[in-house]
Amino acid sequence: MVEPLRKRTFSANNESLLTGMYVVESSNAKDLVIPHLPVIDKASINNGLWSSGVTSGDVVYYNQSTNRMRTILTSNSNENTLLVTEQCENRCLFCSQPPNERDDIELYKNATLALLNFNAESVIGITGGEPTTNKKAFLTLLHQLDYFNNKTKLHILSHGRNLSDINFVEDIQKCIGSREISWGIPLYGHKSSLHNRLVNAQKAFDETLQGIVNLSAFGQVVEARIVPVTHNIHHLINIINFLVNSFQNIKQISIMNLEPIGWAKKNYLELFVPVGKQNVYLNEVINICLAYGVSIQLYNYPLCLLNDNLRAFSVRSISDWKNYYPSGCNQCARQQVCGGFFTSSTGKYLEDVEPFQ
Amino acid sequence: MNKKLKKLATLISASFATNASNADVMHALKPKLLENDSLSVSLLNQSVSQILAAHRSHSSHGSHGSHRSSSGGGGYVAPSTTPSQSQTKKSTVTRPKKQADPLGQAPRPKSSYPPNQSKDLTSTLKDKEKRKNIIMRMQLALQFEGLYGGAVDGILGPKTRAAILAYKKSKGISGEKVLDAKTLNAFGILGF
Repeated sequence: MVEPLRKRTFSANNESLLTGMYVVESSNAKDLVIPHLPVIDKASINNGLWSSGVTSGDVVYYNQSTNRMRTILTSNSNENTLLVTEQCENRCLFCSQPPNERDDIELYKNATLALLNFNAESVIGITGGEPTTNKKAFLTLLHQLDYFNNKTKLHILSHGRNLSDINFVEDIQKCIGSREISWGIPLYGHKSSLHNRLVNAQKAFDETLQGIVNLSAFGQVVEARIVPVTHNIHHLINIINFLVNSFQNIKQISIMNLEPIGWAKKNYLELFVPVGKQNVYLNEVINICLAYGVSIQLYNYPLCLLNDNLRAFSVRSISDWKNYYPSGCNQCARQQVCGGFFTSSTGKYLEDVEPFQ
Repeated sequence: MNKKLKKLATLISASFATNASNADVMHALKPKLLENDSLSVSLLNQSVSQILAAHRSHSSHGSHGSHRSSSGGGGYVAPSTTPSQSQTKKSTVTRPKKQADPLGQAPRPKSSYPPNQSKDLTSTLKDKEKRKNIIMRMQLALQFEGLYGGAVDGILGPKTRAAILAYKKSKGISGEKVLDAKTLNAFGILGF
């Protein structure tokens, strides 16, 4: 079983450490002209897992009251993600990170410092909340990365509603420079009544679509994300048809199986569709995407529950720190290539597996 | 009530005692506080945020009622043998007189201390690179606060200065200094 990386924390053995963000000692970062984080030396990290847990140049956060530290950005992860805010305009029935309205500008500051100090060229996810709720902070982040010549590629998970403001998208474009950015924008319905109901917000559908159109005007690439639930599984084909027929800049479609965490837990019985029942709909949408040449991926579907012809489209997990294999998977021959389940899928949220021989 | 006040006075004076960088005093102080008066300890600690506790070198200031080490749950290590004469006794409610001595000094009034006696911070700020880095960290934070529109260049110009003061004001922090420990703590910038 792959241990979720960010579930693993490290204890510190340096008494003089203070709560805050640090960068693990690294020889190449010193020459950068950036606002540096304080450096933590290897000796201050008290773990027997040095090689697999944390590496030079990683950004960690130390909590003095618990004497533990956790990784913020690490080169050991296949998907680094930064939470920049907890605020959001939508109230999705299956929200995995329920919004919080308090002032959390510190998250933005920390994310910027982490990105600058980590200084990677790999893709780092920006998530929330809704990263563009605070437009000014979002632009400041992009501007600062550009100002300090940071080359990090970003994947921004956004509901896209604020992008319906063309001036905002123009401002974003000015701050991006030559940076590679992709937008992950969820669309849960092919009509406003369906989408707005699932995200619990009026105007959401119209604004999100306008946002995608505006991004298109600036050549920005979008990954459309769909979570199949009871309400929209019958319309999955309509949603995909709508997307591939209407937008040129949607280069990828990701179907994300429901993650039983946050509000999705509360509404689980109302929302959840077993994978066995999704197969027929997934089959339809994959054929459409193949016909239109749009790449499609299935996230978080255990391989054994998918029909044989769908398995090739399944991606191994969303984030390494979120995926999990129940004990039934121990004998499975394909565990290494299977996405498994979300870490939060325990007990009633777990479907029975059929291990491959 | 009287007893509580006495304890409070002890604790406040403790912070001054430690300023003398007397390790023995520190050692003698910690276990007693933890054993005898954990309630008071936690109360006082709560009044000092993590951020405020960051620049502990600034302990000469009266507002720093506590020290990092006493709040760092789990980080506490048993005291060395040097000051432990009193500690060898089984911990009881009564306080050994010997130990109370260094702590018994009446706290001197704040005004007799210059606000920035921090040796660590002073030497840090003398290091050009470190000083520049601290200013850059502040400028970056101020940009997100919407108080500063200039470049993050590490130069303490009039715009930066004004922005820092505006930030201090918004956080309810008194004083006109822009690079003292209190200000850096408000920004959450750790010692370097």
